Amino acid sequence: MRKTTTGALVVLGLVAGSMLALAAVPKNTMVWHIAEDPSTLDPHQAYDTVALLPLDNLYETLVTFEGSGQNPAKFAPMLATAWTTSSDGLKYGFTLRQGVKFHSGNPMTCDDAAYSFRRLLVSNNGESPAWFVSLPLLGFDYFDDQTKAKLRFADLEKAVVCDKDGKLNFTLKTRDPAFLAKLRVSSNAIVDSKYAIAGGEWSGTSSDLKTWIGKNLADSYLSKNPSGTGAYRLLKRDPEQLIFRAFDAYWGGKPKIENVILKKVENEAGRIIALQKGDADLIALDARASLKQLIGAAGVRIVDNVPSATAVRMITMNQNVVASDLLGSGKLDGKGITAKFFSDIHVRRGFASAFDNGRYIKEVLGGKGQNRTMGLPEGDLGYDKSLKPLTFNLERAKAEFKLAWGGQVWKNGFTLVASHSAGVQIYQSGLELLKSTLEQINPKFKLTVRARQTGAESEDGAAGKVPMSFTSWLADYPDSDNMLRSIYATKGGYYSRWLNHGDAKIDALLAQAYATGDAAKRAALYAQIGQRTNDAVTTILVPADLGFRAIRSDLLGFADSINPLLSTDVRWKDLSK
Amino acid sequence: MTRTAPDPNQAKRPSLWRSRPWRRFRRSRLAIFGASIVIAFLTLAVFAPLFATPNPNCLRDLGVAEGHTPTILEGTLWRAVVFAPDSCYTITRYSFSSEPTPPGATALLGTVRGYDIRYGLIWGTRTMLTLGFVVVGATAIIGALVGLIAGFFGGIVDTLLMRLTDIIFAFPSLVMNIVLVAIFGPSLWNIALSFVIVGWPGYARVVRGEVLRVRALEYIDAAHALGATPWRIMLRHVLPNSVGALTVLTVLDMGTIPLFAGALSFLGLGTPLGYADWGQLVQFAQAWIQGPPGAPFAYWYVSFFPGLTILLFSLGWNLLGDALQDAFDPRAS
Amino acid sequence: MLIFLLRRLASLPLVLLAITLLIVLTMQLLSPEKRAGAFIRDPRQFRNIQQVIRENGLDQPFYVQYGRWLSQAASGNLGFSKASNQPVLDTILERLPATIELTVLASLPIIAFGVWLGTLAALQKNRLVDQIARVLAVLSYSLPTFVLGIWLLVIFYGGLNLLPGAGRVSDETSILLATGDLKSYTGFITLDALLSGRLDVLFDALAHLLLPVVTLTVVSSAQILKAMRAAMLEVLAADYVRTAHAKGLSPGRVNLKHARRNALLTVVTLAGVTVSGLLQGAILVEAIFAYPGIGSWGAKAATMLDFPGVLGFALVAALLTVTANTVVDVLYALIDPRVRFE
Repeated sequence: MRKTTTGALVVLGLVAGSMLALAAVPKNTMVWHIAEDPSTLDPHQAYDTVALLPLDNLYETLVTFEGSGQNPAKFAPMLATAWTTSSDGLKYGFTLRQGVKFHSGNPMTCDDAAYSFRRLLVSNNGESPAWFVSLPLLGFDYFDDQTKAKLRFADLEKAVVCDKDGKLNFTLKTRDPAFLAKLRVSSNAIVDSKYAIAGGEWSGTSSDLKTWIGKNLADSYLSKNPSGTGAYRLLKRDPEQLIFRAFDAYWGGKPKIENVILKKVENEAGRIIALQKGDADLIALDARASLKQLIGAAGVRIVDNVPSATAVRMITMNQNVVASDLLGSGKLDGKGITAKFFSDIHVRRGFASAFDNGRYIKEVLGGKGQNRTMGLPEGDLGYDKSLKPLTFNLERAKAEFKLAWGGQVWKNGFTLVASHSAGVQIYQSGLELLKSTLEQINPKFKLTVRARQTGAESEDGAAGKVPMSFTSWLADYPDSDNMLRSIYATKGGYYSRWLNHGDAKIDALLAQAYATGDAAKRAALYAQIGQRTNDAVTTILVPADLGFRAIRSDLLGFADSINPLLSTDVRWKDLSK
Repeated sequence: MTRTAPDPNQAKRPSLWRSRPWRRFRRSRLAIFGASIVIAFLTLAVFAPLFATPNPNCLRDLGVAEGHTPTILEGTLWRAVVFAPDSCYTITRYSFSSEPTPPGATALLGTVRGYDIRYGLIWGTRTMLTLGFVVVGATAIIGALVGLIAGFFGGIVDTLLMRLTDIIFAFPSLVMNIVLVAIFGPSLWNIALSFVIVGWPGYARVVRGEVLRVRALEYIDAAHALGATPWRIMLRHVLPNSVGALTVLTVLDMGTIPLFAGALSFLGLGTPLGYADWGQLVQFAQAWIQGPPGAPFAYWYVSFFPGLTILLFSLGWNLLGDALQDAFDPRAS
Repeated sequence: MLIFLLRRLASLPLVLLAITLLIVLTMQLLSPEKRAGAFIRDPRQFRNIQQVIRENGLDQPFYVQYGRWLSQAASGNLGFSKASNQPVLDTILERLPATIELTVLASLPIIAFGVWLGTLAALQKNRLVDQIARVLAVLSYSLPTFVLGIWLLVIFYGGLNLLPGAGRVSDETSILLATGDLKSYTGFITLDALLSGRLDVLFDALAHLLLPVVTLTVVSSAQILKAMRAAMLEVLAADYVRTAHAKGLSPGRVNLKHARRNALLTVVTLAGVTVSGLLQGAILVEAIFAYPGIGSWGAKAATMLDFPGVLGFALVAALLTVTANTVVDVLYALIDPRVRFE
C-alpha cells in the first residue's frame, strides 16, 4: 500500500507542477505551430516556402511589393530607397538605405549588397534558387562544366558592382521584364558580408572563388548563425523549434512583439488544440475541412478568402505519352489508351466538359473557390476575364467523346491512369470527381486514380510518361512569364513534357512578350496565349482555392497586412498582441 | 528406401482433440474468447459482400445492371464472396467533402472524407487477413527453412545466417519497414514484402534452436546410424517438434500485423487513398479526433470504430497465441 | 572478462558495417532520380534534377557511394540529414538525450509494474489476479500506439486541460534556454533543471514527459510482465524452492528471497530486447507528441529516403542494442555464478 500512496503523490505533484507551468502565450511572445521544418536559414540556398517564413523576417531584399499586394505587382522601397532603369532595360541602379544595421551590429553598405548577389550567383547549385537571377545576369540558368571553368571574378563584377557613390548597379545580358519581381524573392536577401567572411564563408574575392562555385549552402555558417537586417534575429534553433527576438536596432523601429517561436508540431490534432487553448497564436492546417474544429471557438479567428496569387492548379493531358506501364494495353480496346490518345481535340474537349467545376468548388473546396478563365492567377499581367474556357457540360462531353477517334473511344471505352502527388487531398478528390462523372457518361470509361510519391511523379512527368495528372504550379517569382512559360512552353518549361502539345506559336508569343518593355503589349500577348490554350484545351483549368489562416483573435494587424504576392503573407513586425 | 527408426512420439501420440495441449487450450476461457473473435473476423472477411454491399464500380464489374441492388437471394453476392474484382476494395464514397458525417441510414458507422467507414472496416478485414496470412505464411516458411539449414549444417553457414539475424534484430523493425516500403513504393504487396524481409529471423532462431536440441537427442543418432538422410531427419523429427513454437509465433504475429500496417499508414506509407484498409481509416481519423467547438466528441465514430476494430483483431489473435503458448508449454502442469 | 568484453565490442563495427551496407544496397533499387528526390524540398527544384544527381554522386556505382560515405564517416562526418536539416552527427547529439530521457523514464514503470504484477500473477496462478494480468498484457500488445497517444493528448491536454501538449518544455522554458538564462549542461532537461536548482523547470519537463511516458509504458509493458510471470512459475516449480518450503521457511520469505531473485535473472536477459522495443515505441510516441527525439527523426528520414539520415539512425540503433546486449551479458555473468565468460 505504501508504494501506491507514493505513486499517487508523485502523479499529483506532477499535475500540480504542470498547472503552475501552464500558461497561455505571454503578451510579448508569439508562437506559431508549423507542420514542417525550414530546410535552411541561408537565404541563398532556400527554395521551400517553409524556409522563406523565417527568412522573410531575418533578412530583407532591395525592394518589396506595395501595400496589400495588388496584382500585377507594384514595387515599394525596402533596403533600396530608389532605383532607375535604363531605356534598353539592361541597366538597373539602386540607391541603398542609410543607417541600416545588421544583427551583428555591422552597418549595411553597398559592399554587403554586392557580396550578397555575387554569393548567390557563385553558389548556384542544383537545389539553389539562384537560377532565375543568374539567367539575366550571367546568361545561363545553371552551371555546367564549361561555365564553371570559365567563370571569373570579373564576370561577377560586371553583373553587379558598387559605384563610388555607394550605388548598386546591375548589368543584364538580356532584357528581363520580371527582374524587379525576381529581386523581391527572399533568396535575394542582403547578407552581412564582414560577418560571413569572418565566419569562414566565401571571401568575396577571386582567391577562393573556385571552391565556392556550385557549393551547397544548406549547412553554411550563415545558415547556423544568420545575420540580416530584418526586424527579428535568431536566438536559437533546436530540433523542436526556432526562437527569434525583436532586433532593437531595426531601421524601421523596434517591432512590438518581443519573442517569436516557430514550433514544429507534425500532428495536426496537437496544433488545433494548441490554438484553441491559446498555446499557439497561429497554426498550420492541412486542409480547409479542419476549420470545422475551430470556427466558433472562443478566442480563435479565421482569416478567410485570402486569394491565391501565385499558384495555378490544373489537370494535364499528355498528347504524346512516352510508353510506360501507365498506358495500360496501349490500344483503344477499353483496357488502356494509345500514346496519342489526347492529341485528338475531341478527347480533350470531352474531358474538360466532364470536370464538374461547381461540385469541385462546393464539395472539395468547401465553397471557397474561384473559376479561372486562363492558366494565370487572377489579376496577373495579361489575365483576361472575358475569356470563356470550356466548362462542365455533360451533353457536350457526351457529344465530344462520340466524335473522338472516329467513334472508337465511345464504342470501346478506355482505361486511363490519372495520377497525382501523394498526400494532397484536393488532387485526389478532384480526380475522383472527374472519375465519377466519366463513369456516368459511359460505363466503359474507366479512370484509375493513383497517388504517387512526388519524386516519382515529377520524374515520370519530366520524362513524358504521365498521361494525366492533377498538379499545380507555384510561381518561382510572381510574374506571368514564369507562370505561362513553366506551364505552356513546348521546350524547357516544367510541364513541356507533361503536355507535349507541340504548339510552337506559344513559344514565339512568350519570347515576344519577354522582349518588350511595354507592359500593355505584354498583357495583350499573354491574353493571346490564354485564348490559344483555351481553344486547344491544352489543360483542364481547375478552380483556384481561396486561402485561410487560423489565428488567435488577440493577434492584431494580421488580416490588414496580408500580401498574397509575398511567399509568406505577413511579416511579424506588422503584428502586435 | 531406408527404414527410419520409429519416432518415440509417434507410438503414443493421441488424437489431436484429446492431445494434452489441445485439452489445456479448450479449458482456458480466454482462449475461447480469443478464438471466437478470430472466427468472427474470418466470417466477416469471407462474407464481406453480404455484410457490406459492394460499391457501384464493383457491382458493375460483377455484371450487375446499373441501378439494381442485388439481394442475398441472388447469385451475384455469393459470386463476390468467392471472386471479388479489385474495384470492390475501393471504399464506397458518398461525397468529396472531407467532413465526417455521423452514423445514419446510408452509412451505418458514419463517413470520413466521404468514405463509408463500415465498408472500409468490413472489406478492410479481408485486406488485413490476406496481408496477415501471406506475411505470416511466407515468414514462417522462409524462417523455418533458414533455421533448419543453419542448425543442421552448422559451421560457417550457421554463423553467417545468425549474424544476419543479429543485424536485422539490431535495427528497430518499424524503421526497417518504413525504409523498405518507401523504397518499394507504398502498396499492399510491398508492405507484405517488407514485413517478410524483416520478420523471418524470429522464426529462424526458434527453428534453429529446436534443431540443435533435437540433434543432441539419442534417437536422432540412432536414425543417423540407420542411414536416414539429414533432410529426412529434419522433416520427420525436427519440424514436428517445432510446430508448437512456430504456431504460437505465427498467431502472435497475426495480432501485430495490423498495428504495424496502421503505423505505416500513420506515417503516410499506407495503401493508396480509398483502399479498404484499417490503417487508412485511422489515418483519416487523425484529423478528426476533436469535434467542433462545444461538441468535443462529435466525431467520435471516426476514430472509435477503426481503433476498436484493430484492437479487437489484435486482441483475438494475441489471446489465441497466449493460450497456445501455455498449451504447448511443456513446463506447465 | 576483459577479453569477453573486447570480443563483444569488436563485433560491433562488423554489425554496423553490415547494416549500413545492406541499407545502401537496398537503396540502389531506386533510380538516381528517385534517390535525388530526397534532396529536394520543393517540386520546382525537380527542374534541375540531373544536376542534383551529379552533385551528390548518385549516378556513381554503389560501392563508390558507400566508400565515400565510409571514408567520411571514419573521419567523423556522417553527412547532412535532409530530414533534420542539419548534419547527422549534430542531429544525433541534440536528439539522443531527449530519447534517452523518455525511454529511461518509461522503463522505470515498465520494469516495476512488470515485476510486481508478474510475480503476483505467478503466485496466484489461474486466479483472478492472474487472469487480469494476462488480459492487461494482451491488451498492451494489442493497443495501436497512434490511436492511444492521440486520444490521451486530446483528453488530457485538450479536454481536461491537465497536462501540456507538444514538445519537451513550455515556451517560457524554451526562451530561458535560448537566451542562456538556463544553462544546458547535459542535454537532459530534467538533470539540467536539477543542476540549476530550478524545480519549476523540472516540473515543467516532467509534465511534458508524462503523456509520452504513459503511452510508451502502456504499449511496451507486456513483455516484462509475461517474462516475469513465466520465469516465476518455472522457479516456483524448481526443487530448491520446494526444499525451502519443506524446511519450513515462511512462504513470503521463500517467494521473495529465493524465487523472485532467481526469476529476475531471466528478466534481466530481456533488457536488450526491451531497449530495441522502447526505441521502436519511441518512434510513434515522439511523432504524436512532437517530442524532438531520435525516433521521430529516424522515421522521417526513412519516409523521405534521406540516405545519410537513415544510415546515422541505423548506427545509433545498432549501437544501443548491441551495447544493451553486452551489458546484459556482463550483468548476467556477475549475478549468476554458474555463467563464466568464455
